[in-house]
Amino acid sequence: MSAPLGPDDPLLGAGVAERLARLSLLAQRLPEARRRGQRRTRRIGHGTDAIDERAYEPGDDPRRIDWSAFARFERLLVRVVADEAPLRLGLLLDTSASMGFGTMDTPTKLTQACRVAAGLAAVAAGAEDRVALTCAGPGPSLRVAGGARGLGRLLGALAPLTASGPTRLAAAARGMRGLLGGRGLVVVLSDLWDPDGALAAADALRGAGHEVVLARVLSSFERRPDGIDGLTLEDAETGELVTLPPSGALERYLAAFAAHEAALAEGARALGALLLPIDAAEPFDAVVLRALERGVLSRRSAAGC
Amino acid sequence: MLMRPWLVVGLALLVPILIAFLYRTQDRVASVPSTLLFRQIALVRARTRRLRDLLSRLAFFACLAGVAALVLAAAEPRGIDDPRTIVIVADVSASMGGATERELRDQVQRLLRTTNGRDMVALVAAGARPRVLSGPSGDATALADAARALTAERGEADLGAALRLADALLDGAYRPRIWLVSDGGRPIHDETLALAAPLRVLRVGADRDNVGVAVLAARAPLDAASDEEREVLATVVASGGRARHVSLVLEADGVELARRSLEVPGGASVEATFRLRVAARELAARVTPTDGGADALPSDDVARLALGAARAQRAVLVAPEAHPAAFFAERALRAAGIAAITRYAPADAPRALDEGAIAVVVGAAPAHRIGGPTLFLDARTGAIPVAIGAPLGAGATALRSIDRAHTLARGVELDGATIARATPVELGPRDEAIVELDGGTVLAAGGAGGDRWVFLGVDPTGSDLVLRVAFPVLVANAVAALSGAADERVAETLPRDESALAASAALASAPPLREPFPWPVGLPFALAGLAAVVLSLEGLAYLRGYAR
Repeated sequence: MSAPLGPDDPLLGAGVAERLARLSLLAQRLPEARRRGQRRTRRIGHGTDAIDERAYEPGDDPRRIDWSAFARFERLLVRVVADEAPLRLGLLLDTSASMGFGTMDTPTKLTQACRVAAGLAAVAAGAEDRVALTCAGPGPSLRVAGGARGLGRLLGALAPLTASGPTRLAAAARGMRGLLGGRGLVVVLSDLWDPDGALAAADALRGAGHEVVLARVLSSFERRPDGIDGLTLEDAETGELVTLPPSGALERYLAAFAAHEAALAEGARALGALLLPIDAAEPFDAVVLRALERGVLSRRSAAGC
Repeated sequence: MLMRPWLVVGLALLVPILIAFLYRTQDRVASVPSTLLFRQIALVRARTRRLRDLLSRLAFFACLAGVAALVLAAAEPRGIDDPRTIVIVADVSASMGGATERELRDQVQRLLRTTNGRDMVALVAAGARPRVLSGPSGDATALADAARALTAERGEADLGAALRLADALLDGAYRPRIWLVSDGGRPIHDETLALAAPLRVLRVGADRDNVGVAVLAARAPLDAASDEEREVLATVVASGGRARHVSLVLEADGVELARRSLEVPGGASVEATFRLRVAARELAARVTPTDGGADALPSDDVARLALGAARAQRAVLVAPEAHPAAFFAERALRAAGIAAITRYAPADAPRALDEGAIAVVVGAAPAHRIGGPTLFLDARTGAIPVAIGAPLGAGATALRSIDRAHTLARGVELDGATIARATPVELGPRDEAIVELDGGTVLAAGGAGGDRWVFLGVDPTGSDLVLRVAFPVLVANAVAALSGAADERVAETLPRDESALAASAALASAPPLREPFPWPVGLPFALAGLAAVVLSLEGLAYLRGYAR
């Protein structure tokens, strides 16, 4: 096991690169991941998965003749296989000011989101899938092909991102629809503190035929803000100031947080989106593996595509 | 007055507040990714930090103001609501009559209401003789009663004397004030310059029109055919700047004798004369506007004049026994219409006469003064109201002059009269010389009312005067003069300027009185109340978390 990443380790540094390489290998061992790389389409084509058999007709590819069936039934049957195409992975990254929140010991939420995005991209690039990136805030929009070269371009785009400005998930979702060039899987990496905007974005993506994963990146402070009694807090994006009561603020916040989480989960479930919680302090490769285990990037997750 | 020692100590209380504020401005604000959930549990929300800081500063300054007001209130400052000593001078001249009188009363009462309970107020009526009606005191009831009793007089107002009286009342008073309520009808000239107390003038009854009788007089004309004949003079005055058309009616004992239509220029007067040939006890001149214009003062619309009493009917003849002139004097008195003649020796002469009687002293006057109008004929000794000169003999008795315009000389013809001896008199400054010889005055008149006298110094035994027609005519004239029937009489009317509503330039240019704000409570109490309100709001804001 390699040394743990520090909060300020660069995305293009050796530590991250090592984890991305290992992540690519680990992904191939996963049962779900072994079948990934190509995805079956509804078109009949030249893939490997047989979906039916039919009687041979002149002109059919002799390699598709099912010789085992000929031995049993003395009839020439050919295997009908689905066409296979590379996966389209969209990464919708929230680069608003709220994502710049971090501590001395943990990376910022944006750093964590970039690392997770890199991990997912590494897995996808290893399988020659296409990857597109767009930012809900300041940042580039680009689409790269699979392979190491494409991954390198993507990491180069992710590395200099900084958190600033307001969140614009819905607008970014509209841009993603054109950028991805077809239906695919879109992973929204955000703190989702604009739940209406996030659900609107997910709804728009679902409407365009994409599968959506809402990866919610939060810090431990946002999950449990200890010692906030009597504090005055300032919103990183809007500048709004709120003054908390001198006592009982934590309990009331936790209750509100739980209600908020439940509402968000319900909204995601209603849209058919997968909600993936991510802690900013969690190792990103573990997050990616957990995502893969939950079917992200798998054939099953793309079944609807 | 504000710098009481412990006030400074109180102000020092503001220092910890300032420190607290400065410490609060260092308030630690933690940045969070989103206040979405914190908003639900927040006490206070502010859209931005700038707005929060603005509210915080406002709360701070409100707190400072509240504490400062509290400290000032505790110091019991004396200022705008300190007790004042006020003298309200109410002009009660004749021009303040009519509707202006009510306006005056209302205005004075309104001024009284603007004073607070601690003010000392006096009310001075500025008439011909200014007088204090009430105060200085804080007795609002007495002052209000005095204000309600204000009545315009028939004369002029001596505003200068009234202001000096007010100033004297304010001598040594704290925060003295003089408020003059007037129509500006009388000039005050420079009196105000010498006042120690500040004077403010409130005009009432401005922009009025008035017509009135300024003068009504009657006298016996020089060419009178009878004793009852009178020449009557009436003067009508109009105020304002436009001509007025009026009707002037002359009445005698209630009977209309004459009516004139007059045009009176604005701010000027017009005279009208009448010849009265009937006996009357009272004359009245009544003026009425005929142009539909206003007539502000009803008190000057009618002037009444009581004419002199009828010629005396009784006489007391005081003469030594067998005085040669007594006979002629008695005959002349009877010719003058005296029906009852009582003769006395000088020593027995009465000291006082009955009403309507005159005395005629011939030769020697009694040692005592006779109380009543008296005709002295060649009286050289006794109580005579005029100094007797040295007897005149030949060479000093030629007639030098005669005042034919005088009523005593009316019809008296002395040309050709022989006067060999006479006794002159030395006149006082108010005595009248009617006939003068080369040696001195021999016919003179003087005195007034019941002390009137006529002196004839011609010696009847040394002159042919008593044999001439001039003598009974002269005696008749003297009887008429002593009876007062021939006097020029003038009715008591409003002063001309009062009827004309003449405005004083000084008052007209004076700034109008601005009524003071009726502070309901004292300044310390008001400051304490203000502090209580502000600090209560501040405390509430802190409790609710609005101010931090």
